[in-house]
Amino acid sequence: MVKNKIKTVACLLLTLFFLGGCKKTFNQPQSNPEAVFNELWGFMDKHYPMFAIKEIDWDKTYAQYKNRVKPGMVDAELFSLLNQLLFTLKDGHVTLMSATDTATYLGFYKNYPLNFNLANIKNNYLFNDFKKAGPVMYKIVSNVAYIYYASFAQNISDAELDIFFNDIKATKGLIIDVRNNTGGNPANAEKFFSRLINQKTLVKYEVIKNGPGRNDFFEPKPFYISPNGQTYAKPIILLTNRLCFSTCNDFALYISLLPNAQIMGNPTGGGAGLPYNYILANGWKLQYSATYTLSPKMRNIENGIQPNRTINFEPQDENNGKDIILETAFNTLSLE
Amino acid sequence: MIKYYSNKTVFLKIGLSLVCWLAVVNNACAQTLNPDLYKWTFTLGLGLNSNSVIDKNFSQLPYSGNGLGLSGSITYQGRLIQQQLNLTYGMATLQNKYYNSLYATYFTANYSPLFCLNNASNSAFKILAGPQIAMQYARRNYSGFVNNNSSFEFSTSLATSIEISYSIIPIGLVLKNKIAVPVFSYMQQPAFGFATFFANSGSQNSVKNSSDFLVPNKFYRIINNFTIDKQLAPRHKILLSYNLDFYKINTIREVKSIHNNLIVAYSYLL
Repeated sequence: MVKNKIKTVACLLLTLFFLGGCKKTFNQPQSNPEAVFNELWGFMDKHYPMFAIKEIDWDKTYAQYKNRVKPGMVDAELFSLLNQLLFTLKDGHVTLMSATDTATYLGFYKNYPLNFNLANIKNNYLFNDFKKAGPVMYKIVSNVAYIYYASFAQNISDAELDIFFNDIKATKGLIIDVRNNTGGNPANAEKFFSRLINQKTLVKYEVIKNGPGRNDFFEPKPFYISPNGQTYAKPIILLTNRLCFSTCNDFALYISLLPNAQIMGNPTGGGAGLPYNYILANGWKLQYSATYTLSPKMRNIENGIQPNRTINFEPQDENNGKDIILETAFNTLSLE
Repeated sequence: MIKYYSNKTVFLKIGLSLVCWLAVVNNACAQTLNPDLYKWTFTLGLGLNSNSVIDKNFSQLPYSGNGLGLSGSITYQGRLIQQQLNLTYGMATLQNKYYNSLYATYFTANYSPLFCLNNASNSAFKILAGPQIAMQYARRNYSGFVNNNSSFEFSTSLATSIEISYSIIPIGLVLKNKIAVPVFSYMQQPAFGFATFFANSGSQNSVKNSSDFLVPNKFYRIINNFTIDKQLAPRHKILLSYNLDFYKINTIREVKSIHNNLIVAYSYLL
């Protein structure tokens, strides 16, 4: 009798134990071409915020591309198809990465003149004699300061900014060159901009999804930058081209808000969303824009910031070592 | 004919039922729950854990891996109820099948006052049941993700729990299984479009969390704990414990997670 009771209880406990422990991990999701296509399309459907502002009919895109997914297609074919699907978004932040390949939409600058040659600037304008403060190089010529910030991915410290702004405090104008700066850490752009303002400034609104529906958004979130340290209040000219993208695009927006600044060159490349990542069931990594940005006047800046003065290189200019955009900016400030 | 009751009447009836139930429980277990002199049990253990998680905001792929953990508990054996507070901390590096990794940490705290349901005064077999307050915080940091590189869940639940134990007195072993299932939970996660780190946070805190009160179809969790303890000396016990903590969050940020812990612990009775 007692033995039977023990057995019953032991069985009960063991059953609970094994029932509880039977699930050690989860099943792998399907990773056939159709499943991956549907996953990618469905994920973007829920998370991509700019269908409306880019006027993209994502359902129609699904119908267009779905029929081209074949069960036996090889990875390279699927990769190419998914990229074609993603390229319809015309977003330089949208990237698909497999173990062997990476594809990003480059149309935001490929069809535009670069209008920039760093070697020409170093050789013919700075004469290979310039100062460096962290990631930036700069020089003062005829009382006009020139600074080149190649990438906001390279961090600049407050100490480096102190050195730079202390050096140029007596100048009569500042040329900030961000051509070919494809963005990086927004904090660097904010840090730099904080030296150019004397009061807390509303610089943009961020629009962030709050649900999977295409119109599910939080209220646009205002974003302010506060001044930091001594303010540089002299005339400023920002030099831009289409490769000024992402954080650089935001920086151009900030500069456009300054009453003492103007922008010269070409429109910036856009890319005002914040990139997030996602890993698909077949291991490919997707980068996508998870947010978008509006100017303080609630204008969409996804397609770039327009310069106050559009200037393009003539073909012979670059060959002759000239940078007409830089020269125009320098002449403008010299005459101030 | 449908009879309607006012809220007052309903609460009065529930209250009276509880009092009656407690009286029955008290009568059945008064001698059973505190058979020895020791009221307090302090337990501390080290464990190995095996984890698996899917956070659909990052990937549908499961990330799995092993890690280490700590666990501790304080049990008070009262005349009517057994009160227990359990704390668990664990950390692990998890990988998906393509070797993308994440670093996971989790912390759980469970408090349960349990009442005896059977007349166990002459039996080695005991069933205890009662409510449980179950808290858990899990955080994951994904390697190789740029801006959305981490996420978390925090929940506090009111759960029902049941403990079945059997003492094999001649060899000083006690087998015990406790299972808890939340019925109502408060849950906090990053809001849909956010991660715990948000890059544009220079001059202000831009991170937004979402908070919800959830029932089991939105937050399903099962906490199972199987323990074998062996009395080494009057005041000393050694325990081998296996914990399972599974939860599934069906909010707009879907997460599924399993923690399996194998713990070796020491108990001191006071």
